[in-house]
Amino acid sequence: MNLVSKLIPVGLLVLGIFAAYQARRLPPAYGGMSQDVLGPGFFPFWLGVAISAVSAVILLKEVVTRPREEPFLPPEGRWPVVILLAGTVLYVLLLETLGFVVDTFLFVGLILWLLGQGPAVSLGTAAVVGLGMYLVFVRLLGVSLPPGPFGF
Amino acid sequence: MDIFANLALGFQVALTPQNLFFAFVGAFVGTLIGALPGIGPVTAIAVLIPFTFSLNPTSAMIMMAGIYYGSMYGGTITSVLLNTPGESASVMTCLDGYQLARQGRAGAALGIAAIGSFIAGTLSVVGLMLLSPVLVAFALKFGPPEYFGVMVLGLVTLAGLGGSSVWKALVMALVGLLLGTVGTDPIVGVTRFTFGQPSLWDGIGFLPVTMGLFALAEVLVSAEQLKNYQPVTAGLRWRELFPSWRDIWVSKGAILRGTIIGFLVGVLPGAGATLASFMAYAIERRLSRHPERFGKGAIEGVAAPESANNAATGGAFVPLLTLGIPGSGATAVMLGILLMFGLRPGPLLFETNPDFVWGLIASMYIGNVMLLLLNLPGVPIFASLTRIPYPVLMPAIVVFSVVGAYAVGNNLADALIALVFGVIGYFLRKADYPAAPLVLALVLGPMMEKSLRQSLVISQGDFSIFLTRPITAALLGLALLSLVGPMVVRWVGRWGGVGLQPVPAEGHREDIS
Repeated sequence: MNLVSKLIPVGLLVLGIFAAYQARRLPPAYGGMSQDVLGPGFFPFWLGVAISAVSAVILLKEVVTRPREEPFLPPEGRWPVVILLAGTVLYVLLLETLGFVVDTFLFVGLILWLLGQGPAVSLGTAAVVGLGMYLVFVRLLGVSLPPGPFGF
Repeated sequence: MDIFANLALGFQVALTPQNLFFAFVGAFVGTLIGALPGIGPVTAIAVLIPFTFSLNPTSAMIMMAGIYYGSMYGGTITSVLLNTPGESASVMTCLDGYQLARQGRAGAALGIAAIGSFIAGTLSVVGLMLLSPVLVAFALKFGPPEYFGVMVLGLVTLAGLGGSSVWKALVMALVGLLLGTVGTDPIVGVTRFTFGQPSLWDGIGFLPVTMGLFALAEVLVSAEQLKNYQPVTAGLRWRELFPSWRDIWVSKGAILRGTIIGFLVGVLPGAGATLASFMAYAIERRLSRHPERFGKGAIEGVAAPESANNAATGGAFVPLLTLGIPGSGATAVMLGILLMFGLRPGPLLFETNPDFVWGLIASMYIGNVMLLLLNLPGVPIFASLTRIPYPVLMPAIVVFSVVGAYAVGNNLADALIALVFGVIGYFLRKADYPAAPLVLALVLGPMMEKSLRQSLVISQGDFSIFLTRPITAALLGLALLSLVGPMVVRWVGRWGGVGLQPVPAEGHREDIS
């Protein structure tokens, strides 16, 4: 927990400095037709400065306050979080390759099985979610979802 | 403008069988999703967006308003039965609601919440109807500096009153504004922060970010608790569902006061349902002749915050519809949907699309009636939903949010954005950084920058334009006050050795709905 609570303001600080630096390199205000006084770099530059300042304050407060004892992730929560996170990454990356129905079926089924549900519940839920959403969204509502090699 | 003629027009729109159907579906599905532990209104609205893609804007908004109301009520169900608020606006409901449930009076608590919400919702729609035309007339005189002032006030209030650390909320709002600058510059057309990616030219989509920061992050956080998740077996019987006449009689003052507080707080940009429910509860306890009953199962302790958060929902539509400026995470998502349909809310919308505006207002009345009809008898059904093993729902919510993000623009890049923000949001949530200010700022960012730069075109580069226009100066002054005020109070308190209680109650890490 302690590491994360310090890493976040550090990351934000870097983001702020980076944004301010990038904004400085944007073209200056154009005169002429638009009469724009501030130019495209003004707003992001000062946002970058403000983000750096506020995250520096947060970092300082995190360093000063007494460290929190609790771990970032309770040990019994690690497995479900890792499973779900890895599963979601794969699900998104394979969405267009496998197509919505197959990808969803595999994702829901495997996640439930790995999280300790029985095969019947896993398969049943996977089929209901995959096919049900296909029927409702694609067939009924006309929302287009990635079709995949089998046409669905 | 004749309010009654307009309202008649509105009811004509809202009472078509089609729109009645969408109001019903919205309220029903909203309650269903809101009743899932740990899922708040913003997630409920975001996850259900794909349903509206094929609808016309009026029906879509009617359904969204139903979802908003429904998910608020769904949050009440989990607060009372499980002592786990779905979002921060129902934190106060837990205090007495859960105690009542333990005394076997869950039905009375849920019933009074439904009745209070109905009265508050209806009255706040009346308020919305009466106040909007006045504000529209006023807002027509607003120039870019005034709009800039309102947006600053909204963001700062949301950050200042959000409950978590002001600094953390503030930095989230600033990051949201920065993300809003990605893409094509609104005035001179240069691309900014696109890093050669054409998919970023239109900016970072606000819906994928919301799906990530809210839906995906919420699922990941709740996955940690999987081992501790105990389905409740508390059954509810029909007979126990209705509060007694005595309960209603005792609560009448709490409901009315909650409504007034809720509506007024809801109208303020950035304040909102959470603050409203805290205030209503505190005032009720202060006024009570038996304050010691609060926290031990006082029925007024449920009636007041529930009425207030519902009235605040109606109040939140006032700035959204009249100024086009959302004041909370949930209304920001609604604005995102409106923009998707090419409707820009604001004073002109009342002139150009009266059927839309008044249809929405009328359907909010209908949504309230529907919610009451649905919820008094429907509570056992929704309550049984809390018994569905949570693992079954987690992958389903992931699928909904990924599909929603994908379907907005029909490309994988948006689904990837949702994924990235889901992971970022998970860590931010663990470290108590609120997500609502970021989402609101992302929506407001481009408008805010545009009004800032337009203001300086008007003044030919003189920044004093923000101080010499009285309305702008007042708005910015208020913003400064609401940011610095709480900090000063805390410093003075610490200096004087007074232990001030921090605002958030235990066990919630949700944001203002």
